[in-house]
Amino acid sequence: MLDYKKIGLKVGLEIHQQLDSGTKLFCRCPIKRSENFPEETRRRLRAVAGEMGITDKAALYEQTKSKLFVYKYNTESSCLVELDEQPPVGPNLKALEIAIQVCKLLECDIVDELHCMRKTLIDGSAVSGFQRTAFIGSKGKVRTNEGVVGITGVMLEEDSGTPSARSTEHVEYKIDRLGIPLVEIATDASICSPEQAQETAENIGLLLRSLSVVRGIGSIRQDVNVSIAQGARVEIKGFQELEKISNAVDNEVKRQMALIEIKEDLIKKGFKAQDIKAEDATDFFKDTKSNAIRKIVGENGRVFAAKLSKFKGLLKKQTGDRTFGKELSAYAAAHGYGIIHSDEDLEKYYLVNEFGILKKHLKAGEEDAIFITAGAKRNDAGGIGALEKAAHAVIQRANYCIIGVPEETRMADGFGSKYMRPLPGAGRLYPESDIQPVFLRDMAEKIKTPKTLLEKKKEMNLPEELADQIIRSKYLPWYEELSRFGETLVASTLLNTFKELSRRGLDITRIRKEDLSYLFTEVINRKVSKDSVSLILERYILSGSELRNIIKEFELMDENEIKAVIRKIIDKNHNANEGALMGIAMKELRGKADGERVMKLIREMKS
Amino acid sequence: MNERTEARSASYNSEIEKELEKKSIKVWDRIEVNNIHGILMPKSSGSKDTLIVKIDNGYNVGIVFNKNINKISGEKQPVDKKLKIDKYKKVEGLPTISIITTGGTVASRIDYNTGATHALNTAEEIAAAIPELQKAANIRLIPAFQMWSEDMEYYHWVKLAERIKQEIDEVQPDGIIVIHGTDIIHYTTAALSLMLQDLPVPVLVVGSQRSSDRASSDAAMNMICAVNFMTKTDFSGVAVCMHANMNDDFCHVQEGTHIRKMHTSRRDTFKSINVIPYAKVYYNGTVEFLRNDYCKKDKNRKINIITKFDKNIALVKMYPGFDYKIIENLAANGVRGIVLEGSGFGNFPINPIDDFTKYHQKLADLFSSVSKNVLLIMTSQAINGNPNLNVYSTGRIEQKLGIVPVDMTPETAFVKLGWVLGQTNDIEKAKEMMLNNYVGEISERIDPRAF
Repeated sequence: MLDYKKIGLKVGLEIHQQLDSGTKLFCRCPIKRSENFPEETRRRLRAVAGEMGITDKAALYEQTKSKLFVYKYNTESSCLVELDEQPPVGPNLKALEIAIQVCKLLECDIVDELHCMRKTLIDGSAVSGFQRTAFIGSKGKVRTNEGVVGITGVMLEEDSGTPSARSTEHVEYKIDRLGIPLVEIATDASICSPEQAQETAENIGLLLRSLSVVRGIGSIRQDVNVSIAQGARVEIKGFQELEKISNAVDNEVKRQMALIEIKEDLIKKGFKAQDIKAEDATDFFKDTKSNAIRKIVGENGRVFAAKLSKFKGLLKKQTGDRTFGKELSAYAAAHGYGIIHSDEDLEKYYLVNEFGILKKHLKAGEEDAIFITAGAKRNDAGGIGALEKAAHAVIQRANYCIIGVPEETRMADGFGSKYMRPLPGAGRLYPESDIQPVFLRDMAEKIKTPKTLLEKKKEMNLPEELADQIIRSKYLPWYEELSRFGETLVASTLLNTFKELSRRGLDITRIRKEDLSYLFTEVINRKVSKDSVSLILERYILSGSELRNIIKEFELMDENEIKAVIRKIIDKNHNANEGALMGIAMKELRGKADGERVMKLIREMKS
Repeated sequence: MNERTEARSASYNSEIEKELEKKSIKVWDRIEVNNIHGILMPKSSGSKDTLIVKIDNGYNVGIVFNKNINKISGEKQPVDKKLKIDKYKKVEGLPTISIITTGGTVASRIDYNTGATHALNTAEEIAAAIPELQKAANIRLIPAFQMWSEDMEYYHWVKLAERIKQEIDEVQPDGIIVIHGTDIIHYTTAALSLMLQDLPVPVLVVGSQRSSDRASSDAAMNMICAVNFMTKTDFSGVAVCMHANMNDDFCHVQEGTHIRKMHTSRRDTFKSINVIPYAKVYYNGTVEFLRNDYCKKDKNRKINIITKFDKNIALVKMYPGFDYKIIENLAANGVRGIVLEGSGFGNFPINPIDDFTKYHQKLADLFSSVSKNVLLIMTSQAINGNPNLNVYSTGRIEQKLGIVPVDMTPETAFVKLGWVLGQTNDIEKAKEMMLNNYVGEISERIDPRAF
């Protein structure tokens, strides 16, 4: 068990949650993801003078030779505001209300007046080149088993477009998501263990689900910032499941610790960072037995190679859940290529000979490693080979090892993470003067928060697991309306029965709330047994008949009839015990009598 | 548009100012109020009771003023990281383009600290904002005025025309760009077309719909296309150059007397009326002419400048139930000419049809008496197509009442009416001049593709 305190682990969370406010934050488009994108708008976004901190005229000129950004849209989910052809409308008051509720549930101080800002985005994910965002609350808290975690900020902002294609000349985004309101919740870095990180995310998630938030895949995004004392701040994004957070944090700690060990090892070996260039080594692979490489060379691709001095053995060192060699390959992958290195099993690749020759050619010594990267030759918009860039990225990353852990953004990957891109600089914030400030004080005072899910759970008379599940279920509103028919019955129908029917391929959307209400009423009136509920629902979906008629088929027998049947069975089976009698009785009475009732009667009448 | 924030130079209200002074707190100082730490910003928006504070993460927030405010430290106003702009150098062999600015977002940049905008005043600044311009031409920047275009009128058109002529006479540039707010570009281009006839080189008016602080602004491409068009073709005349559609593919160069702002916000807001655009100009400089009936560049040609204008004119739009007193009052107050925007072919409600509309006769009688001294010109609020007072009886009656139809857009007719009445007191002569086609402002024939 790692001593996280000693290691100096600091974790911060950033959670982005889409709000279900009916229409988008700054226009009246519905909050809707589209399935096809028949329209497009083509733009050349320009770096605005002074924006990037670029002061050199030549560099600025290069910047202005911008890529083509193609924005795909569907008119059902995008209007002129998203296309940056109309000033914004709003902000959406319902979204503002929900954001204030978030602040209240997180015990934040809410600002008196909302000032909307523009935050420049250089990746083109917003058509206008900036994101609209406003600060609403701070100094909040969320409680965990390991203590209170501070909330440093709650912001209300627009979601961005989603990247959908790219080439060296263009980048494409789908913009149905652009403009959907988000609340961003940022914690401080006081989270000090992977488990606490997970719990914090879960608790915040549970609070959010008490409010009117969008549900389903992609509606909530959690980013985790992890650092250890001798390491650096690393951002991990892209968690599809909440459960992976504690694994990812734990893995990141191990990864950073291993990188620090690599650094110490390099220092001992006297490593000096050198800005070397990879060489074109294609000729060495003309007669290779490796199918993959031969194919590449055959199709006029190239192979580039370079020495990584002092790295022998380090490339196969585990840095978290993967070797450092695999870690390096992600930096090449950012340019579209992979790598093969000398710490690997070269026999597997049929490259033993070539690597041997290359080692001599690159003057690699006993302590040195080498690597190759290969593929089709491609040039970027500036005419520079992408292969050279990939190799260079690997060399640079290896060089950085002598400094330590680089700050970067990583993508959640299995139980760990992989390099995604450099940490983005803070986008410049300046006032969004198309939107008037909104005075919040009076409004905030009047806004009430609904009962939280945890509060609702406390009031339930359900077994722990069922209660836990029902508060997280999208059927919670149905449960709340129907629970008067019997909490356990209703909860287990909505959770277990529905899941089972779904699993068998049945379309449970055919079951309406009114149907359940009717059915449960009949259960309460003892017209049907609660054991029959699942069978009745199944029959209802399959047959398409009216529920009323199906229920008739499952009508419980009259109490006296049941007694008569049981009397007969008891008489016929003198020596059978209660269990056996139960079995025989239920064979005959299943669906017509309540199991509990039968058992009770058997007990009574046997004596 | 963000440049219009009235309270840009406004300060906090006097009560707040007094309290701040008591504690020696000035704008830009680092302060603490209600547990919020940050920089006290100038008051540019929001409720009168709130302070604007920039907190350390860069966000502005509004805090209701509280006497428990404390000063943490005095700070200076941050200077916006200025682009190191090299002294502008002319390049031998490149054509010269003179840029005259009158306002608008193209020639402005934003102060990211306050959100306020400043005008660009030198060639260096505009070259820094749009470096591509320098590859195509040597540029000169002449600030003429700095105003919202809705406040412009004939006085400014006259000044602009004179400044353009002066620039052409003194410098002989290969073209002139006028940077202008988009709202009334179509009035200005009509005015310049009539006031500056026989132009030796082109005058292109350029505006921008999306503010230049954003990466998606249309400003740069409009300017780049304008410069490319003027340096690469033999076109001369007055035209507008702006986006042709919502993509950054190409701009349209459109005839100055046949355009209109047709959308409040889209970047392709200017559309040609009754003609098609002169040309498509692509981002990369390629030009595709769509028409060849334009005047050719000739640097030796002498400008014929006629900057007369009578401002005693009006533009009146017909509406159902039109109040004849509008015309009555205008006439009583000395108006010399009125451009009427009739419905359809150019119709006003002058027919007494039933009991309720009996009073329409008053308007008819009024037109008849007024037209003796006031030049009444008819255009159509349908905008596209030409008015025609021969087809229906209403029109024929209007002609008898002395109303003169002209084949021009209402705005172009309005500008021309002022220009004509500035040159003559003779109403018959004025009628003749209104019907004379000086620079193509009259739609003698309509291209079927134009709509």
